[in-house]
Amino acid sequence: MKFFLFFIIIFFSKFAFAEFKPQHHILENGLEIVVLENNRIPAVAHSIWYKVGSADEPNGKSGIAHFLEHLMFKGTDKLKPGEFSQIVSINGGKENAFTSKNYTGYFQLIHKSKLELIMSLEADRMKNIKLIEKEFENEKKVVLEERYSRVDNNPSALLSEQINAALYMNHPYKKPIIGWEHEIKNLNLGDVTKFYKKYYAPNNAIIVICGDVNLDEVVKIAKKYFGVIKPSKIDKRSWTLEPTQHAPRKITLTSKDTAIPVFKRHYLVPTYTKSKKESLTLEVFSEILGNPSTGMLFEEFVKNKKLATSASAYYYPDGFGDTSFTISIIPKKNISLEEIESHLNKYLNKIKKKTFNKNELQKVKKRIVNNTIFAQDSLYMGMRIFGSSLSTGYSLKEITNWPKDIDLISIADLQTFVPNIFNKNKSVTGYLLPIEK
Amino acid sequence: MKNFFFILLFLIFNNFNNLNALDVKEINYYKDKNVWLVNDNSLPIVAIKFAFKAGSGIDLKGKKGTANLISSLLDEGAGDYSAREFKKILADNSITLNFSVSHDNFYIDLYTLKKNLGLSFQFLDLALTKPTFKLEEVNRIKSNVKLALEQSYKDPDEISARLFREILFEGHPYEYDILGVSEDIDKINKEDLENFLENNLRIDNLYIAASGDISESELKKYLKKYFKKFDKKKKIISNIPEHKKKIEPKIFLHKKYLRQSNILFAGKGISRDDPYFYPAYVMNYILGGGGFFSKLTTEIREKKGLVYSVYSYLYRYDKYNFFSGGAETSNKNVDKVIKIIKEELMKVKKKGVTEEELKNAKNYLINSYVLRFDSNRKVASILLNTQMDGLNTDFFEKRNDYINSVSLEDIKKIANRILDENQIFFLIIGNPSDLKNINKI
Repeated sequence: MKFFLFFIIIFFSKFAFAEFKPQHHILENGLEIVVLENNRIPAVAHSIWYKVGSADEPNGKSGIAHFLEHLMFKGTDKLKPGEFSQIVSINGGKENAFTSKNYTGYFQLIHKSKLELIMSLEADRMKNIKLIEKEFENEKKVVLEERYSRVDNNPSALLSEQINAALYMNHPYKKPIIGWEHEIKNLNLGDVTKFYKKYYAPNNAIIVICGDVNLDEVVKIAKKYFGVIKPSKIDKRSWTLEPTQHAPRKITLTSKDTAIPVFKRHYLVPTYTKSKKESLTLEVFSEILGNPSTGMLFEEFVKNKKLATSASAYYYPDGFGDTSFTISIIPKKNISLEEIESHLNKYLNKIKKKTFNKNELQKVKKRIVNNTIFAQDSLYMGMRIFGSSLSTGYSLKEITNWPKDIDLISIADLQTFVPNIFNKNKSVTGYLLPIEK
Repeated sequence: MKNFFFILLFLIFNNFNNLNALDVKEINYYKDKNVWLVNDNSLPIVAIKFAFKAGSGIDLKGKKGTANLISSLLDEGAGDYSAREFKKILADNSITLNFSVSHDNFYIDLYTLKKNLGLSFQFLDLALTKPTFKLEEVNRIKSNVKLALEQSYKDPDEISARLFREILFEGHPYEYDILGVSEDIDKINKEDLENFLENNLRIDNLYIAASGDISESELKKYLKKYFKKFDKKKKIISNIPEHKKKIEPKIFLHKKYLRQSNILFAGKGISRDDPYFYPAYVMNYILGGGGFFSKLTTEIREKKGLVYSVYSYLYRYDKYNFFSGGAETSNKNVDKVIKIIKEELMKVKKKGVTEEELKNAKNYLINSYVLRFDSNRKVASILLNTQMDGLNTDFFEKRNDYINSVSLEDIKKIANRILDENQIFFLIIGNPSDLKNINKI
C-alpha cells in the first residue's frame, strides 16, 4: 500500500509497440507533439519527456537529473512550492514523474476539459522554476531517504547497482539513476540550476498525449503556452564509449537481509539505436530463452535439471550504445550458485550452436505482436511506449513499424546474432548470498 | 507566459460528476447467480475476474498454505496437458490466466483476445476441474513456497509485514501468511488439495465481473456452460470467525541493523456498511490517503524532509477492519516521525479538518473517479469489488453523491470514533537511536 511520489525508474517494460495511430506535429521552437486518440473515457494522459537523464549528468554530480525532477514541484515565479500538485489534485488529476538514464518525464491523468490547464502549468515550469536554498536542502533529505528505501535497505537493488557499475567500464550508464550517496549529499543549488537551464527547453522535449483529444486541439493549446518559449542551444547527445572489454567480472554481495540466493549474469549487447536488426532479434530471442514460465532456461534449469526454482532472461532495447541482456536464476535449496554458474556456462555453449525451429519462432513472434492489442487497453501504456521510445532515439516510423519488423526476424537472424550475446569477456556475473546466522 | 492568469479561471470548481457513470449490466446466468458486465467494443479483448469466498483464512489447522498451494498448482498441468503444454498453449494464444488468493478470497484473472474466449474458458475449466497435481510439480511448488516463507524472516519489508500481521491478528486465522506455515507445507497431500477444491469452490460463494468485447448472451452462455457444475449439493460452509481483539497502545521494536527504519501503525477501522464509511474515507484521504497534500506528507516530508514516503489507509478484511499506515526514515528520526504521526492523528480527532481541506479532497475524489475506468482489467476489478461489497449496479451513479454529502461534522464524528490514542500500535523494524518505552519482539 506504499505509494511513491516522484521516482526513479530502471525501465518501463516495453512488451509492445503498437497499432496505435500517432498524430504528430513539431512547433517552430522545436517542441515535438504526439497525440494518440483514445475515446474510452473523457480523459487524457498528458506527458512531457525531456531528453535528459542520469547519463547526461556531469562527472561527480550523479543524481542531478532525479533531484531536479523533485524540484520541478517546488514552485515557479507564479506558483508556491507544492502548488502545481495541488492544482492538479483539486482538478481531479493524478500525476507523477520519473527519471531514467535517458529521459525525465512528467505526467498527469486528468479530465479532458483540464488539458489546457495542465499544459499551461507544464509550460510555466519548463523555464520558470524557482530554486530556493531552504527547499533545496529539505528535498535533498527526501531524496536521500528515497535512496535508503529503494537501494540501501534492499539487497537485490544493491547488487544491481554494483553489477551495473561493473558492466559499464566507461559509459555513464555505470552510475545509478538516483545517484551515489556521497555525490547527492554534495550537490548544490548552482549545479541543479545549471543543469535545468541547459536541458529544459522546448527543442529538447516531447509532449505525448493519449486520450480523448485530437492533434489540432493540442497544437492550438501548445502554441499558446509553449510556443512563446525560445529554444535553447542543445548539443547533440554524446557519451564516453565503452572500450574493448577483455575480462569477465564477478560481483558477490553477501547480505543478512535475505534468505534467497540469486544468480545474475549480465552481457553487454547493443541497443536498438546501435544495431537495429540485432536488437529486434534479441527481443525475440529473450522471449524464447527467457520467458519465466515457458522459456528454454526455465525448461532446462527448473524442469529438466531441477537445479532452480526460477530462471528467466530479459533484454532491454532502449538507450544509446550498449545495454544489458540479463539472466536471473534462483537456485533450489542446497544447490550452490557455483553449480548454477557451471551448468549455465555449458548450456549457453550449446545455445550458441543451436538450430532454432521455424514453427516455434512464428508462435513467439505472434505472442509479441499480439501484445500490441493489449497495450492499447489503458491510457498510460501508449503514452509510455511513445514517450520512452522517442526520447531514446526511435523515429515515429520505427515505433509504428515495430510489429512488422519483429515479424521479419528469421531463423537466419537468430543464428547470426545469438552467438554474439554470450561473450564472456563482456559479462558480469553477480551472486547474492545470504549470510547464515 | 502572459496567458498565465488563465489558471485562475480554471480553478473555478467544475464538477463533471455525471460523466462518471459506468453502464453496468447485471445478467442472470444460472439460477439466482448474476454477473456484472461493462460492454466495451473499442478493442477485441475481454477481461473477466472471478472470486470464490475461499481464501487462506479457511486453511485447516496443520495444513496452513493449502489455498495458496492450489492457486499456484492449477496451471501446472490439467486434463491431458502437462504443465509445460498447458502454459505454452496459453502463452502462444496470448491468454493470461492467473490464480491467486488473499486471506478471504480465491481469485481468477482472465484476460484474453476475444477470438480466444472459447479456448480460454476451456482451459479455465480444465484447471478448475481436472488439475493433475502431479507429484513432481507439487514438490517443486512446495519448495518455492518454503523458500518464500524463509524470506519473511530475513527481508526487512517481509519481516515488517509478518510481524504486523502477527500483532494485529494474534489468535485469528488472518495472523498466518497467505503462503501458510513452513512445517505444514509438506503435510498437505493431494487429497487435501482435491478436498479444498471440491468443498470450497462453489457457485454459491462465487462472484464474477467482466469488461470488454463480449455480449450479454455470449457471457451468459460461457458461464452457464462452465460454472453450472459448481452448484454443489453438499453444503460445507467454512466460516472465518470475527476478529474482536482490541488494539493496545504499544510500540513494538524488532531490532535489525538497517540503514533506515520501517515504521508501521494500526488502529481502529470501519466497516463498509457503516453509515460513516464515506466520512472515514474522505478523512483518510486528507490525513494520509494519497496525493501530495495529505497532512502526513505535508508535515513529515514536505516541511521536514524526514521521509520519502508516508501514508495511511483504511483496510478491510471480511472479518476485521482497521486504519493503518507507515513510513520509512533514518534511524535517528524514528521518534520524531512517530511523534508527528500521533500529533496529526490527534489534531484531526480533536479539531476535524478545515473547510478548504474538505473541499479540496472532494474535488479530487469526485473528479478523479472516472480515471479509474481506463482499462478493461481495472473496470472488471472495480465491478468485482463493488459486487463483493454487497452494493448494487447503481452504485456507480451514486458514489460521487456519497462523497459530496460528507460534512465537516461527519468527519469530526468519525475521527473522534476511530482515531483513538489508546487503541493504536506502532511497529518498528530497524535500529532507532532515540526511543524509550519499547516492547521488543
